[in-house]
Amino acid sequence: MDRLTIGFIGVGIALILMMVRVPIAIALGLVSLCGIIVLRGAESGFGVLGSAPFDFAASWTLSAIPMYLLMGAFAYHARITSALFDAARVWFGRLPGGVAVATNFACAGFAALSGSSLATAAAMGRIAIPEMLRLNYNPGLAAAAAAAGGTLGALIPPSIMLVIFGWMAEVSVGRLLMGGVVPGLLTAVMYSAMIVLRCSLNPSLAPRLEERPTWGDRIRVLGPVWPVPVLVMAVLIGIYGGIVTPTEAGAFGAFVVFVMALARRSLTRSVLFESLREALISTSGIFFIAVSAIIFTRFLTLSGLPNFLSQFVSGSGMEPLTIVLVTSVIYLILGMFLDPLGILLITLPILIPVFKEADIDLIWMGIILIKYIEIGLLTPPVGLNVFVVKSVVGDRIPITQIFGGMVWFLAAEAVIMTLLIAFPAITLTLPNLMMGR
Amino acid sequence: MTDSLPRLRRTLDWVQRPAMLLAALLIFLMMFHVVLDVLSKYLLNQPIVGTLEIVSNYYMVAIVFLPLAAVQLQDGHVKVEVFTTALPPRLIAAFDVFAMILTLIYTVLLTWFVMVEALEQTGIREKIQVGIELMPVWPARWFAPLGAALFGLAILLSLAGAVLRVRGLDATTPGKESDEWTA
Repeated sequence: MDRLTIGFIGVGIALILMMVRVPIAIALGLVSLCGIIVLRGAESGFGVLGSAPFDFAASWTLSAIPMYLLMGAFAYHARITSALFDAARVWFGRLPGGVAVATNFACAGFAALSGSSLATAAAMGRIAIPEMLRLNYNPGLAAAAAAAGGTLGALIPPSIMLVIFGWMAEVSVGRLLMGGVVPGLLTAVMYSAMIVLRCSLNPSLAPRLEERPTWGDRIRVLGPVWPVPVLVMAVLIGIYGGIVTPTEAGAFGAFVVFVMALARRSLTRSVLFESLREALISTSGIFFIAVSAIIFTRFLTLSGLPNFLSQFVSGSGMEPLTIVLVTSVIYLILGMFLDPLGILLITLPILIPVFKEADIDLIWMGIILIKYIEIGLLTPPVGLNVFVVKSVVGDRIPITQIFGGMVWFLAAEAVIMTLLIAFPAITLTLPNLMMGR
Repeated sequence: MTDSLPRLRRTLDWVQRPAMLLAALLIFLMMFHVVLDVLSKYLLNQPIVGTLEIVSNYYMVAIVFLPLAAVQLQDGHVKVEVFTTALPPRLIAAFDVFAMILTLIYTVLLTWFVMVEALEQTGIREKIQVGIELMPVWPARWFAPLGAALFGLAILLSLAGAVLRVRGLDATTPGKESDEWTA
C-alpha cells in the first residue's frame, strides 16, 4: 500500500471514529499514531507521542489562549455583561427592534473581552433574552439575536480561533487579530440593519419602547463600561504597534478586567475560583485536541497527502476564487456537524499548502474560514451557539423557533460573506495600515 | 463493581483536586507575572528576565496537563454527538464503552511515553539558555505524565459508568458532584 492510500484511509477512519462518539482528540491522536507507526515504524511513532505534547504546550504563541479565556471568564462572572447591555439599550433602544440591536452591540463589546463565541452567546443570552421576552419581542428573533451576536466573540479581538489559525498557518497572530476587527464590526452592522429593516416592515415583531432616555442618561450609562473601549483601544494599539505580543495583551486585559471586577465588588472568592477553573478546563480541552492535531499534521505530512492535494489543485489550473468557493462549501457542510476547533485542526494541515500554492492571502483566508466556522455555530442540526442559547432560555423558546429566527441572520451572513470574498480590502486594510505590508 | 465506583471516585478526587488547585494558582500567577514584566519593561525599561521561558516551560505545561482529569470528569472532551442522538440509550452506552476503551489505550501510551521523555530529561538535567544563564526546565516535564495519569484514572471512571449504562443500570452522569473542588 502506498503512502498516499494510508493517508486517505487514516483520514477516513478518524472521521468514522468521530461519528461514533470517540472524542475528537482521541480519534485524531490514535489514528495518527498508528499511521506514523505504519509509515515510519514504532520508534518514530512513539517518539512523536512522547515529545509532541510537551513541545506543543510549552509554546509562547499559544500562551495567549489561557489569558484570553481568563479575561473572558472574569468579564462573565464579574457581570460586566449587564452593564454593557444596559448601556447599549439606552443608546439603541429607540430603533425598530432596538433591544435586539442593542443585544448585538453589547455582544460586540463583550467580544472585545472574550475570545470565544459560545461564551459571548451564553453571557449575553442570559441577560438580553429575558429582557426581550418581557418586552414582548418575537421569541425567535430574541434568541437568534443573542446566538448570532455571539459569533462576534471569535472575530473581534481577542480570538482563540484566530490564535490557533495563526499558529497553524504560521502567519502573524497580531495581523490576524487586526484583520478580524472590520469584518467583526461589519457583521454587527449588517445584523443590526437586518433587524431594523425586518422590524420596521413588521412592527409586531418588536414593540417600540415607551421610554425616552435623555442625553444625561446616555452619558450616565457609559460610566460603568468606559474601561471596555479604553481597554480595547489599548490592546489594539499595543498589538498593532508591535509594542506588546498577543499574550502580553491578553494578560494585561485579564488583569484590567480583574481589577474592574474588584472595583465593582462582584469578585468574591468563589467567583475568582470559578473563573480560574473555567479558564483551565477550556484551555486544557483545547490544547488536548490541538496536541492530537499536531500528531495528525505529522502523519499527514509523512503520507504526502497535503502535498498531493496542492499539486492536484494547482495542476488542475483552478482559479484562486474557485478554491475559495470550494473551501466555502466544504466548511459550510463540515460546520453543520463538527465542532469548530475540530474543523480547523482537521482541514488546515491539508488546506494551507493548497492556499500557499495558489498564492491566496492567508490573513484574508483566515478571517473567511473563521467566519464560516462561526456560521457553522448557527446552522442546524448542530448549531452550538443555538444550543447554548437554548440551554439559557430553557423551555420558554423551542429550538425550531430559534433556528427559524436564525434564517434572517444567515441571510445577512450571505451578504457579509459575499462582501468579504469580493473585497479583500475590507479585511486587509486595517492590518496593512497599522503594521505595514 | 457498583460499590467500587465511589471508591475510585474518592481516590481520584483526592489526587486531582490538589492538581487543579496548583494549576489555578499557576494560571493566576502567570497573569501577574506577564503584567509585571510588561509594566517593568515599558515603565522602568527593565524586563523581568526569563518571563517568556518561564511562561512557556512552566506555567503553560502545568495549565495544559494538570486539568485533563477535571475536563473528563465533567465530560468536557469534545465529541460529535449528532450522528448518534436518535439511537437507543443502551446502544449509545455501547459506543461510549468502545470510545472509552480507545481513549484509555491512547492515554496509557501517552502517559508512558511522556514519562519516558520526562525521565530522560531529568537524567540529563535539561536546561535552556536564558540570557547568559541556564534555566533548568526538566522539573516541568513531570507535569505531563502526572496530568496524563490522572486523566487515565478519570477515563477508568467514565468507562465503568458506560459499562453500567450498557447493562441498563443507570449510573448518574459522571462528574457532576465532584465539581466543587474549590469548596
